Amino acid sequence: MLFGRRDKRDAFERYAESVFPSVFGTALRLTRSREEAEDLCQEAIVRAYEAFDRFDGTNFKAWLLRIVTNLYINKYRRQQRGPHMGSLDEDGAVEPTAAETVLPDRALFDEALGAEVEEALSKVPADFRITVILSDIEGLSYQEIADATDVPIGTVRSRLARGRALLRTALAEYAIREGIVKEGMEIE
Amino acid sequence: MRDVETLHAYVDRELSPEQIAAFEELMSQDAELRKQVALVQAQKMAMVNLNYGMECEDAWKKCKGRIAEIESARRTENFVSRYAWALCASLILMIVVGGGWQRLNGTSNSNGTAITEMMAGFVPNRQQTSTPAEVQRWVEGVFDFAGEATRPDRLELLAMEKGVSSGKMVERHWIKDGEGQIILIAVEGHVPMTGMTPASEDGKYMVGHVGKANCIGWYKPNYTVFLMGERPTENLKVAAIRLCSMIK
Repeated sequence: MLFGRRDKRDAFERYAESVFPSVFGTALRLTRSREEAEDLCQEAIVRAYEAFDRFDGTNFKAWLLRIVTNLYINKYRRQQRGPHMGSLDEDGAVEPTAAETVLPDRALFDEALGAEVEEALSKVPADFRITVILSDIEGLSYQEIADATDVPIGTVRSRLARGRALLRTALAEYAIREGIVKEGMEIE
Repeated sequence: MRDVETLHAYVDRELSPEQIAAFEELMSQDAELRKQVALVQAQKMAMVNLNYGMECEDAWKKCKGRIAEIESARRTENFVSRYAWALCASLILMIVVGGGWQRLNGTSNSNGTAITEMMAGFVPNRQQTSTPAEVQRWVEGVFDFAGEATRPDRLELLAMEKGVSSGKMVERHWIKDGEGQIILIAVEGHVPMTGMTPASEDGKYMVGHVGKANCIGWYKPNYTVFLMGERPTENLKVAAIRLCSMIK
C-alpha cells in the first residue's frame, strides 16, 4: 500500500472535497433529485474510497465522474423512473440539422440564464445528457467520456452532436415561449 | 469534411492538427459553417457557465460520515482478525473458570456419581432381601405415623430394594404420598455429599439435584438419608424435616 491508513484517508478526502461540487452537480443533473443525487454521491465516494489504491494518479475528477456515471447507468437507469430516464434510440435520434431550422442565435446562449439552460438540459434524454454534461460542463475529453460511459469514441461524438442539437431545440422552445424569438424565424 | 460531428470535434479541440487545418480551410470558404461553429461555441460557453459552485456542503459531510463508518468497521475487522485467537482463548478461559466456580459454589449442583450409584448401580443382595412385612415395619418405623402429612393412609410403599453400593448397605424406597412419588435412599454410615450445598444455616440439610429430580440429604447417627423427587426443593425440605424428626 502506498499510503498509511490515515494518510490514505486524508489524501482521499482532500482530493474528493476539491472535486465534490462537480461530482454533486453531475449527480444532480443526472438524477434530477437532490435526495437521489446525495445517495448517488455517497455510493460513488464509498466505491472510490475503497478503490483508491487503484487510482492511477492522473485525473481524479475524471476518475470519480466515471464512477458516478457508471453507478448511475448501472443502478439508477435500471429503475426506469421518469419519462426522460430511458435512452433515445441512437438511429432514431433527432437529426441536428433538422432541429437547427429554428435556431436561437448565439445571443440567446449568451443571455440565457443558468436556470433556463438547466431546464432545457433536463429535457434531453439520459444518454445524451450524460455526454453533454461530461463534455461541456465538466470539461472531460472524448476519451474520458468514452471510458466513463463505456462506449466507443465514435458514439461519444455522435451523442454529443445530437445531445447539443436536442438541447438547442429545447432552448428554442423556451425562447419562443418567452417571446425571445418568433416561431419559424431564421436567426442570423 | 463538412459533417456535424467534425464541427463539434473542432469546437471541442478533439481534431488532429491536420484535421484542424483542413476544417479551417473549409470554414474560410463557407459562411454558413462559420455561423454553425459560432453557435456551437456559444452553446458550449453557456454550458461551461453552469459549472458554478453548487451548495453541497451537507452532501459532502454525509459522504465523510460514510468514510468514517467504513474506517471504523475496518478497524473493528482488523482487531477481530488480529486478535481472534486471544478472544477465543479468553472465551474458553471464561467457560473453564465459570464452570469451576459453578461447580464449587453453584446452586445447580449435582451429587452425580454417589447418588446415581445408590439409585441404580448397587449390587442386589438377595440374601438380605426383606419380606413385605419387614419392609412395612421399616417404613412404619421411619415415618412413625406421626403428623397429618404422614398419616399411614396417605402413604403408600410402591417398592423397596436392598443392596450394596461401594461396599455400603443401601436401601431404596419408592413411596407415594399426596403429591406424587418420592424416593428415600438410606445408606449405611456417612457418605460425602459432594457438590451439594447447605439448605439451611446450620448445614443440617444439603440440597442438589440429579437429572430432573431435586435431592435433599442429611445425616443420621449411623446412616445417610437422601430424599429425591420431581418437586420443589422447599417441598422436599419440609418433608425431610418432618421425616428427620420422626425417624428413630
